[in-house]
Amino acid sequence: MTDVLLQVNDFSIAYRKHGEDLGVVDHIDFHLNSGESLGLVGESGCGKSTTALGLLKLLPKNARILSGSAQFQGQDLLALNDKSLRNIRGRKIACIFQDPMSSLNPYMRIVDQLCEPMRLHLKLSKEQAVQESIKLAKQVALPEPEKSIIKFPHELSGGQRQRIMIAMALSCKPDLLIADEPSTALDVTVQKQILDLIKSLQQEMGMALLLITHDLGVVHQVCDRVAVLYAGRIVESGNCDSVLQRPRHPYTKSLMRAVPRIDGDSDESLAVIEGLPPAIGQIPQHCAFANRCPHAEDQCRDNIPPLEDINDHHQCACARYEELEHD
Amino acid sequence: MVRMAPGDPFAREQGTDPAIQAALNEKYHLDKPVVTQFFYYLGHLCTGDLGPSSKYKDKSVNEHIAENLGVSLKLGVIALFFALLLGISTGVVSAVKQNSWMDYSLMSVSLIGLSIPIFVIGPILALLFNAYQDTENISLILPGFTLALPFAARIARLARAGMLEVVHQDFVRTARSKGLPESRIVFVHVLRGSLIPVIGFLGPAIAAILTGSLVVEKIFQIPGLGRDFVESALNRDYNMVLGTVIVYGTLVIFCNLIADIAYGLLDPRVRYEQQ
Repeated sequence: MTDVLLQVNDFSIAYRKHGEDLGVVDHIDFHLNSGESLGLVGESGCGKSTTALGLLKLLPKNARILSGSAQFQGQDLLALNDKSLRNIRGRKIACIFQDPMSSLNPYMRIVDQLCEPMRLHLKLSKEQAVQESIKLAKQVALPEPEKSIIKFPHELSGGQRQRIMIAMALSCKPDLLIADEPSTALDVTVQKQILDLIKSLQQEMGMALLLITHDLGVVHQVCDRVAVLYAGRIVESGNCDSVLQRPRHPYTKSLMRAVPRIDGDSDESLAVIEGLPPAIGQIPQHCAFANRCPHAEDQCRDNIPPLEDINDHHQCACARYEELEHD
Repeated sequence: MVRMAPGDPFAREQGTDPAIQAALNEKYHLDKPVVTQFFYYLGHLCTGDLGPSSKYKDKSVNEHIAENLGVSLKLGVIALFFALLLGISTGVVSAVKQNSWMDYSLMSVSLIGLSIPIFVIGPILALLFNAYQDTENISLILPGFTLALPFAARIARLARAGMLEVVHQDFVRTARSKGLPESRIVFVHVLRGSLIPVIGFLGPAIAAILTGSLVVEKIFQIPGLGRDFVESALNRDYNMVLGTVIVYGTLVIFCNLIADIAYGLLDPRVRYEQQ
């Protein structure tokens, strides 16, 4: 068994609005092994980005961490003071964000932004950092690295900017990379390139990857394990193959049915999940999917189903998963 | 501006003895039609000559302006320095401590600074610091400070708004995710973008500081160009009025040009394509 790099327990986050705490992430547990890639999947507003950014306290000011711990290399990330957390950010855990257009500083040259973490964490001199930046730019396959890095972000394309983000995140050789929808804002063709790049660099450097996405195809392409979030709770998790091929939770099942298939009948319309997810801050005290679930019974509206082991590689939070196995 | 200017002053009449008036008129070409006068003036202007002063007979307008422009410029530069220093630092502090008592009190002070006119603040400060005692050796610090106050207040509010806008942008989160200390995030990543509205304000602000200086020059008895401008208008010293207006105009255009160049330095997206 590989060693656990990140163990998150009982993690809850709420946004404070008009003096009221709106719960977004509700007591979730997950772990990530060294060198492994975990996909956090869910629809908009299910709390997947909030979870990932909450680990490094990168959330807006009105977000509050209500409970939980996140053990990372013998330290609880959530209990660290600002200074210790800054030593982890960028050095041990690095991030890539969704929109490469706005995630780079438009007023600074690329090279200055690339050098920053290396000069800060690795204490490199200016010349060393510039040399390293050129190497990194080559590594992420940026065309004309020497010329490109002295440009400003607006002079590069979206895909190129995301490559810069990746280079910047990897500059200090982190143990964990958090990628928050890294391909969502890009063209489909560029999406695949970026994902391939992330995956190959992850394997090359042996770092762990926490990938946040709403795209099951992306998960399948990149991840070893997957955790499906619905309304702030993990409803199903496990090995990618197991969860995506034999989903057990009714939500995951309906999601899989909603994925368009290239070999499918083009006249057939896609399956749609009826209803809407609970509004932000209104996670019910029972199975959150019960109101949309075709198989919901009274017991589903009585309490929150725990995440149970189906086998070593697959967990599911549904009161009826055993009965519904062959549904 | 120059074309408009001659029309107005010549419409009025000077109250002097007719004989002297006629002699003077001839000397200063006042006996000729306005249009001719205007071309005379333009001709001299092309050689850099702003003409003789009708009030100070021993000096030309050039000499007079050269003598007093220095003082006014010094005053303006000091005021600008104070305005930027006070304004930007106040703006940064209140933005970093947004919605704290510090933010609220700084912004209240700046509102007061904006609302009280210079001719009220000036004498109060002058009395407070006894600026009237030493008339021989005039210090420009206090007048400069007075002149700076309303602009500092305006700059503070602009800088604060700019900071708050930039702070919520994604690239600040990126900077934070790199583990950068808060001071570097504020001064390197946030400040630059937030100063753009301030730069935009600087062009008109410099113009306003220059023209505003006449009030301060009057209050603090400084022999500057602003005071001259007022006096020459009262004396019907046409060449002097025109001269000062031209000098002011040139300065304002020049300052706006500098502000535009500064735009490009701060925001690379504004720069022209280099071939």
